[in-house]
Amino acid sequence: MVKLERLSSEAENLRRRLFDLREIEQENLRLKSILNFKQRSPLRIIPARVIARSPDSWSSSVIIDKGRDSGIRTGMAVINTQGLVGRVIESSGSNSKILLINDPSQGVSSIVQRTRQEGLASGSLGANLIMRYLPADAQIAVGDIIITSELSRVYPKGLLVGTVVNIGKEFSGLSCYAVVKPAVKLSDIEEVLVIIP
Amino acid sequence: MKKWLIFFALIIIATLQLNWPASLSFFNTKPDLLLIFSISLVFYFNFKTALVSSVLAGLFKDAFLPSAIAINTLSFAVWSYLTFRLSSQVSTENSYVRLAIILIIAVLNNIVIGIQSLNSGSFIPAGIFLRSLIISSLYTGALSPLVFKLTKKIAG
Repeated sequence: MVKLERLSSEAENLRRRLFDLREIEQENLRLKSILNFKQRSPLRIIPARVIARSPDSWSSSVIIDKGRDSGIRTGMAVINTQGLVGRVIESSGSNSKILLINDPSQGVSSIVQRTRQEGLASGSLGANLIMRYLPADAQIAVGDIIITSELSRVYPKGLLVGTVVNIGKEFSGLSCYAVVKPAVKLSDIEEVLVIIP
Repeated sequence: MKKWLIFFALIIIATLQLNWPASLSFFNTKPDLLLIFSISLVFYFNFKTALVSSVLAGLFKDAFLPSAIAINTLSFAVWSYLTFRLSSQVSTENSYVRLAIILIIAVLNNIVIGIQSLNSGSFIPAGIFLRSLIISSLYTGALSPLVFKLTKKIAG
C-alpha cells in the first residue's frame, strides 16, 4: 500500500515534469524561430515578451517587457516571425504598450502584393481586418497577399499584413472592401520584435 | 486591515483581467471583473470605501488601455454612486437583484465605452459592436456570483 502511494506520487511528479518540459520545448522552438529571423533579417530589431493584454473587449493592445531603457520609442513598428503585429503607442522605462493591427483605431496603409492595388487595412476588433477605400473595379481577389505600402509613415514597406478571405461591395456600390485574415494570430502572441528605424 | 485586503484583491483581479486566458475568451470578449468587484463593494462596505475603490479600479483599467481618456475612472465612480442610491430605494439583498444590477451596469458601461470608441473615429462594424456589447455584458454577469463571494469573504 505504501509502495503504491509512493509510485503514484512519483508518477504524478513525472507527469508534471513532462508537462514542464513540453512547455520549455515549445518556448525553445519559438525563440529559435525569432533568433533565425533576427539573423536573416536586414532590419534592426529588439525582441520582447508580451506580459499583459488589453483589459477590455473594446480595444486590442498588449504590454511588452521592454521600454525606453532598451531603445524602444513611441511610433516604432512591431512584428513577429509571421508578420505585422502593431505599433508602439506608449513607452516607459521598462515596458511599452503596443496597439495591435486589429484595434479599430488602427489603420495600415497596404497594397495587394500581386497587383499593387492600394487600400487601408483597418482593425475591427474581430479576428479579421477590413481593407477599405478600394475602387469598385479594384484588382484584388481572394487569396491575395496584403503587405504594407511605402505610403505608410509608421511601418516599413513590404511587411506581411495578411491574406484576402472575402471581397464585398460597399453600400453605395461605388467602392468595395476586402476582408483580410492577419498573418499573425493576434490573440496568441507571446513574443514580438520591435523594429528600430 | 480590510482596506488593505480590498486593495490587494483589486490588484489580483486587475492582474487576472490583464492576463485573461485566450481559451476563456468567447468571441474575443472577456468579463469585466474590476467592474463587478467595484459594484459588489457597494453592497458589503460603506459608500466612501466603495467609491474610492471604484475610482482605483477604474484607474487600474485605464492605465492599461490605449485610450487617452480615463473614461473607466469616471464611469466606475458613477456606477458605484448610482448603485448606492438604488440600494437605498430598492432591496438589494436578493442575489438575483444584484445579478440584474451587474448586468444592467455592464450593458450601460459597454454602451458608453463603445460609443466613445466610435466617437473617437474608430471603425467598428455593427455586428461586432453588438457582439462585444451583448456577449461581454452576459459574460460579466455570469461571473459576478464568484466575485460577490470573494467580496463577502473580505467583508467578513
